[in-house]
Amino acid sequence: MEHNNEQDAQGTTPLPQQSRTDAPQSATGQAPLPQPSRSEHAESAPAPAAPADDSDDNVKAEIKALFQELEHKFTDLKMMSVTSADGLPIYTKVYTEYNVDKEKISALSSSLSALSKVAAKRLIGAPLVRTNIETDGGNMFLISTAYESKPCVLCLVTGPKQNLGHARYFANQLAVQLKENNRSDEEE
Amino acid sequence: MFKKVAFVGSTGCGKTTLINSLSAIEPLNTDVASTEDIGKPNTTVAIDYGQVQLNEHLTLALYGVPGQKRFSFLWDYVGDGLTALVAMVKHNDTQSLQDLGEFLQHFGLHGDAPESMACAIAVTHCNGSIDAAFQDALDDMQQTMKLALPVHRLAEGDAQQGLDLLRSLIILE
Repeated sequence: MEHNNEQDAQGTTPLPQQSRTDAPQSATGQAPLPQPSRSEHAESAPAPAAPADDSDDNVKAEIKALFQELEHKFTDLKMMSVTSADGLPIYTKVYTEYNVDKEKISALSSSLSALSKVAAKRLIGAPLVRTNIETDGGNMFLISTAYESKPCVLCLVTGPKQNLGHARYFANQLAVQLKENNRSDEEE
Repeated sequence: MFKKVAFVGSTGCGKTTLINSLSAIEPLNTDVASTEDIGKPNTTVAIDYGQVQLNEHLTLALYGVPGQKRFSFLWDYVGDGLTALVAMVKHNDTQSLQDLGEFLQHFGLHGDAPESMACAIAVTHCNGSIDAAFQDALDDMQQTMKLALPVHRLAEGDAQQGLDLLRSLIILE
């Protein structure tokens, strides 16, 4: 079970670790994409007057830090969340005016991820890497990973301006870092 | 012909076990490790699905849904086009009984609603007969909701009892 989750989080082809200034290889195999600066991000996704951080009192500081490290790399990020595999919210961060019920996004993340795993196994015969939901209004990425050695689901929702391959790459990277963050904590 | 039957009820009342025992095909399960203490290690987070052929003309598609309210969007999804509903409740479990009332309400089964589908109550985790106090509580709930649903005792994973229940529902339908 743990092994499978690790595969899910890392994908079939391990992603290279990169610094913030590294230009990523597009997940679609296209030329490297330009990195948006913080100001570009602010223009395309203006923050509301009040912080939209939807975390609980027992917010996991490590997840928050990981989110903060990567959020500026998205041009049109609406929401990131980490949910337990059985659908309970661990940490949710909502950007812009995106209206979402964190309980609902957690339950949906869990259900969609579980169904995707069954579909991947039964219909393709391969372990699930990631679930993408594409719409005209934006995209949703679900990746099974782990937090504190427990299986969980990372969910990202992006708006229509977000490059798909770019978002997919950073979503994968975040899932890997989330899991590796646990490992380094355990080693300490 | 395909008809759709849903199994609903609180967490741990035996929906997944029953569908697995009834299904003639390899059932689809979406169980994951539970992070809450629910009296068992795993819980369903999407749907359980199985099929059983009642006769040469009729196959039932069996759907199970998670018991936790946060998954109520799946109750709505499964509720569309239902032929019958099996509402499950754990014997002598007050919370499960309360959940049963909420499930019946959610699926529009109350005296003031137009009759929409066949439904039966299945009492699980019951060794022997149903305790009189629990039966009274069930009767009170049905009376309050202006219902008169048949009540069956169902041993966990007993395929024959499950089949008998399904046949009775199809007759009622």
